[in-house]
Amino acid sequence: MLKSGPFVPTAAQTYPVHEAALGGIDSLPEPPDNRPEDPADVGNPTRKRGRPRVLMANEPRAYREGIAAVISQLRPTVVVETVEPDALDASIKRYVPDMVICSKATETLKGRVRVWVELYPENGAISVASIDGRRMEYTEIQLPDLLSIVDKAEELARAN
Amino acid sequence: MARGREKKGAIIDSNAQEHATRIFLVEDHDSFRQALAFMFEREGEFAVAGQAGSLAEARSFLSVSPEGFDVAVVDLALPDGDGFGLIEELSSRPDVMTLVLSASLEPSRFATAVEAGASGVLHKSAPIGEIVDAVRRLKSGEALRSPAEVVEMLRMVSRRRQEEYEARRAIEKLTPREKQVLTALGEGLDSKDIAEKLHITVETERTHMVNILGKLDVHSRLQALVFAARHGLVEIR
Repeated sequence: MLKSGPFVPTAAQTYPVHEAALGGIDSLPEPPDNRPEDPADVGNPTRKRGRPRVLMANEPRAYREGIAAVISQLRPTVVVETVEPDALDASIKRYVPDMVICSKATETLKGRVRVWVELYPENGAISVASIDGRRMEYTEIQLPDLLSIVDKAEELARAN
Repeated sequence: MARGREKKGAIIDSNAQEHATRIFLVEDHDSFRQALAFMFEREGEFAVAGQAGSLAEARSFLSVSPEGFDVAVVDLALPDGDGFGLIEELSSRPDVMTLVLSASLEPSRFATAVEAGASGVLHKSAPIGEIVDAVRRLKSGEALRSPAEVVEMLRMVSRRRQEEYEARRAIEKLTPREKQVLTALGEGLDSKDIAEKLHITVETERTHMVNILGKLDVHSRLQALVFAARHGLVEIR
């Protein structure tokens, strides 16, 4: 869908094009080839919950819902839940997510979730991601970055 | 650990469908802007004609594609300035409508956007579906706010402007010595300390303060301090 979508820079080739168009959105990472089509049917004995879960608790709401919709559509093998930011800790305990996207990382999050993204904390440009203890800082995180992190989270979840 | 990215320019899509509502997105948070573009495209009736992450990128886009869109969705707080000027530029184009999408909680900023020519204003705490629907309604000629609401917003801008004017006039009336007293007050000093700092008696300090209160039309030291801080006369650290 995205390949024929709005992100293909086709005009004004001499015009400076945003990085997102230079292999950004247009080159959104495809889901990994080795991923089962329907993980729920695979019956991984070590994982009884079925599909990997992504919990979104970032603000503002438009960001949360917009990004959640994209992940749901482009990564149908994961379940995306959205909650209000103040329900983050309780939701982590309840949903046991494989990945969290939030605006402010809490101690509960850091202690319980292997993959998380602190997206635009304080409404700034910087975002921080943590993948299995490895931290990365993004000066302007892109949608493909978020999808890649979702893929990592899914990979880690299936490896367990 | 760190990974930097530099913004280079706006995204242009000349394939924006002919009969779709063409949208120009101006938003500095790339991942949200890209998600928003995705949401619009998914609806089928919209085509994202361009994207920009700053005022400079937006103006570059406008210079090469001045009539290439029907609705602009504009964030107010962009890395190189407020979006008000851009909204004014867009409002001079008769066929373009502007929807402001902002994280600001200050009603006066929304009101200023309306005064600048925005056809609609929405907070980013709105559901994503409401944003998509707002663009749909604007394109169909529907108003997002009632005339009474718009009038109230314009009144708010007018009131604020009047208040700022009166504050400037009041500040102009202060003598240099009175400004020094206010600055010392902003440092957290009491009457005695201010007097000592300025080498004046406490009685003289009080006389200055009485004059300050009268000129600023406030009733206490605290109110004078708040006034001075609000209007940039003192910096509270």
